[in-house]
Amino acid sequence: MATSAESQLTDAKGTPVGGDLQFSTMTVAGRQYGIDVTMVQEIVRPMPMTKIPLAPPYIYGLINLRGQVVTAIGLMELFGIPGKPPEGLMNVICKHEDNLISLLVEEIGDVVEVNSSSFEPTPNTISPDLKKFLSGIYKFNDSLLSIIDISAIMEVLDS
Amino acid sequence: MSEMPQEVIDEFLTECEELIEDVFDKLRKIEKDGFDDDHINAIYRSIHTVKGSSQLFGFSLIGKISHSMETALDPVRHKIMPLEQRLIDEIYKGMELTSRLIAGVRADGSEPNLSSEIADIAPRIIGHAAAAMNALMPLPGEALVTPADLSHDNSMLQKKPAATSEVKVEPVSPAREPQPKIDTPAPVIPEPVAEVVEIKPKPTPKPKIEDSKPSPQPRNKTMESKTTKASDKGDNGTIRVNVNLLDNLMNRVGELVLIRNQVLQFSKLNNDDEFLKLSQRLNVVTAELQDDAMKTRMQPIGSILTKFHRVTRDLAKELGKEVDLELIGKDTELDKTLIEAVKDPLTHIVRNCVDHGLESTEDRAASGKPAAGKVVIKSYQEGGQIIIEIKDDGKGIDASVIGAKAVEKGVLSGEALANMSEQDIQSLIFAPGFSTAAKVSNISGRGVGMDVVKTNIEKIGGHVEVQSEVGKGTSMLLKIPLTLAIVPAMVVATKGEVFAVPQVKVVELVRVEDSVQGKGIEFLQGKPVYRLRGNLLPLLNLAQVLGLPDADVIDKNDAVNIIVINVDNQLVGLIVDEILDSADIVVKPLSKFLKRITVYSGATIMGDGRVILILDANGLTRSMNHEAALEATTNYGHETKDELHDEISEYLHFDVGLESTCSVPLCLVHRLEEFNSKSISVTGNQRVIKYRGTLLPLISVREALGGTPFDYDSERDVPVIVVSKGEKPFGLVVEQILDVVAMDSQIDSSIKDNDNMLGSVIYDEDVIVVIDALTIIQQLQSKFITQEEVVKQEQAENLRKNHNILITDDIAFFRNQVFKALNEAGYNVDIDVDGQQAFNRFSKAENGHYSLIVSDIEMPNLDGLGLAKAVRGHENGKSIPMIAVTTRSSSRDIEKGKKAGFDVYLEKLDPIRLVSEVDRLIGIEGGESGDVRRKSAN
Repeated sequence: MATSAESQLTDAKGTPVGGDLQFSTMTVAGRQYGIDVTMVQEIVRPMPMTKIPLAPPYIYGLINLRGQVVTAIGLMELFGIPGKPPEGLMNVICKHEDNLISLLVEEIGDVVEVNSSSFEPTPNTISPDLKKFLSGIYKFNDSLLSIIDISAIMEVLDS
Repeated sequence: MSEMPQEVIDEFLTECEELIEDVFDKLRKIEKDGFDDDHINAIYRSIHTVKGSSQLFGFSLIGKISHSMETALDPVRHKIMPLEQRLIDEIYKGMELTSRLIAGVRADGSEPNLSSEIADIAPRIIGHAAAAMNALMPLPGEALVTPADLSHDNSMLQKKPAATSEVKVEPVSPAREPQPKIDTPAPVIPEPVAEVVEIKPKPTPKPKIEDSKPSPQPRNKTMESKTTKASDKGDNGTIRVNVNLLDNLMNRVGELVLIRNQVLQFSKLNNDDEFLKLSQRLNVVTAELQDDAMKTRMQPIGSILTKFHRVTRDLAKELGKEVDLELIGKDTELDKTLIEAVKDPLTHIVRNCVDHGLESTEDRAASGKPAAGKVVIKSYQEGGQIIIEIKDDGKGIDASVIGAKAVEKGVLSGEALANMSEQDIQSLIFAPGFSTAAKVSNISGRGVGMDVVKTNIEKIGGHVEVQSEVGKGTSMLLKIPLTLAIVPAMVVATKGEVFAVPQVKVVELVRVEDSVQGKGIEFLQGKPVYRLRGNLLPLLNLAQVLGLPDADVIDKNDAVNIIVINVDNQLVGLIVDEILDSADIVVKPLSKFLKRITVYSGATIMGDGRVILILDANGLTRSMNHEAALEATTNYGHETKDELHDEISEYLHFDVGLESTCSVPLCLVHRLEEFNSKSISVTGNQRVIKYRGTLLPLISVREALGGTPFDYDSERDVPVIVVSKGEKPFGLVVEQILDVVAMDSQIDSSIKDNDNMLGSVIYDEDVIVVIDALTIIQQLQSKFITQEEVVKQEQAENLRKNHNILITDDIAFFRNQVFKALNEAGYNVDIDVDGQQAFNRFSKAENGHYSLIVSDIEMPNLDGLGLAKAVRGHENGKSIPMIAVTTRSSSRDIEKGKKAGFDVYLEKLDPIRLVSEVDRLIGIEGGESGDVRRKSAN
């Protein structure tokens, strides 16, 4: 998946995209998502997790990131995608207003550059439960990249 | 002067604050022990420095006021005039003003406008000096003396010829015996007038870091007035460091400690001697580093304690008491953030001590105590905690008075009081809404004090205790952790999950080996309890509270570990599977969105790198109480639903200035508003206010209940409950809106002495008066009804008397309201409590006996829709008009209702509309007969 990302992510003319924005790509429930690279602090391999009794199901638990305690969020559960995620999820550590959270994803793809002209707002046919976490869509020649909105996630978590 | 970098200004402010404190300290010593050269000189120097640096920074007001004090003190210092008490008082005031100015600068960067105060006080201060000068020395010019002219001799009260303005360096003075102590700290700016400085001429503003003089020393408040010691070479100097840097340092060290733990654990698994040795080294160095890092944030508690001299002094003066404050253990060191956190609670306790604790001078004399009350603040370290003890020799806390007061204020019931120990009763002073001061003063007595003290201390992981003996005095103990970051904790496991419990809350650990009845865990109403030395200890099963799988089984055959925790002086036992260890843990905060789960106070990382959650004792017990409360309400609801066909409704509680709290069903309330009394106008005798394009008539509820009229004259905000009757809104004027509360609708209408009351309800052991808002409004309306209308109404009432109406509703309150509305309009009304009963009654009655049926929709046994269908299916019921009165009024509900057979669908509950609809359907008084199905039976 990670190796194929580059070839997949070409612009509408078929040439590799050399745009003004960069996104880390990742897979959740087999679909591709992107997060603005400036929001991503690092990617960490699967980590031992401390469960938090009484917390909502999308909160997987706490991980020890070099002495810092970081809360891990299961994106599949948060997005309301049915099914059971596989074992050994990767941690995408994101920084939002000094808070660190880890978003759990299945696979990590490449960092892609996109052109802001290929942006489109999320279509209304996407279920609102998922749509509220997306800031929009970037079009590629043979694929589409849904962009995850970290601040929307934090907002939902905090509410 | 805002071009100055903020750090420099901050430094200036800090220095000034320290100097001011020092001045207060010295003034107090002088007041207590009499005139002292050293102290006067120290005060003079401090004020001088404040003056100099404030002028440098362009804070002219501070400069002005300190200049006046400096001028006034100079002759005193030179023994030209004696130090009078009056001058001390003025200096106190002047310093007070200075510290307000400094505080103002700190808050918004510029001096607050206190020029009028300064204009008032500065001349008075200078007046002292001038008076003295005039009396002693009719010489013109600055009232200054060269030190060279002074000797230690006390007879030196006469003025030597003044040497007028002087140079900075006085070649003779330092060498001369008479003034060894007049050595000033390097003035920050050059002083234009004579000043005793050291021989070596100092270049003016020098970076403080290199300054060998201790006067601006930040950490050491106990600075001796003996000024610089010769040995002070500068290598012991202090530097000012940004607190954020220290915080970062602390955090890094915290992380280092965790890594050290992991290394240690790893080294034990390895059999590598060299590695083991190295890791031991690492261990020792890390521990030392941790210790030192912690110390960087430590401050002597004296930095806040010395302020209390001023606080008690001022307060004692105000109250006409004499107070002697003693501080012990000023050097006890505490984490900076903790110092800040205890400042306010301590202030409150000390003020309380002086205000409530100590008796008046006369009372003290009467009980044979010395006139001056004694307050001792003692701080010391004990067992990893800092203890601050505030002790007075006043009247003590009388448990019986406190108890009576608590019952009176509704803090607890008399029954509960009887079961309490004296100490527990004394601790009631920490209960919210409790104050023992008979009269409210601006000092204390508003009942918001001690509970705030308690919450604030507990917020930082501390604990407050009170010990008191009547007639002998009271002592308050504040137990505060040494530092916030590292906490000793128990590590426990339950159902395979590991948690930490902070040790502050842990009282003891109990292991119950033998679970035989009577000795082990017992169950009281399904709740586990344990007899701990004869007293019942309520137990919480941790696994159950946390919702862990298989939690609900306490294995009666297995040994059980109980951690006894103390929460608000209540002991609770926490059942866990295993107690693993005790450890010093570094508290890491949880993400904001996890803070809602109140049973955790944070997380920590263990030696093996694993993250564990820290349990919050308060949160755990709260969850227990919450559970109990929930259970109570469900039981309650259950019982009432089944047996009484009644239910909990929401009521709005408010205060009208009468003895009991009043209440109105929330369903009648349209809006809550607050109007300014100025905007209320009068038409005729009626108060009205413009409200949403119409005039809102205002009715005082208190007056309606037979109380005094509402005072509209004084300007204030008037809370108004807007109630709609028909289309028209009315405003019920009350004193205060309290709360929305779910109560049983079972209103006891037997206890009512006023038509405007529906009756009373017991809520939370209080009697709540439920007002009859609609009647109150009706009375108002009836004032405006014309004679013609009265006649018309009477005619209608006569007509209505010929009609029988059947109403049914399971909720007593609404049932009564419907009954009342129709009955008062003149109809004959029969009541049933559910659809089945109503149908039985209807089917038994003669054809045409009932002219109309009013029914609720949601009812037990047979609901409104069922009733309508049944009636329509009955041979007598084909054409009887039926009205549904309900809270369910979506268009779908209406559709369903119409289909079932209702003619009209009304929302609960508008009696006027109801009567007019009934009239219309029956065909009385202008009622449109067009769509009336029923042909009158008469």
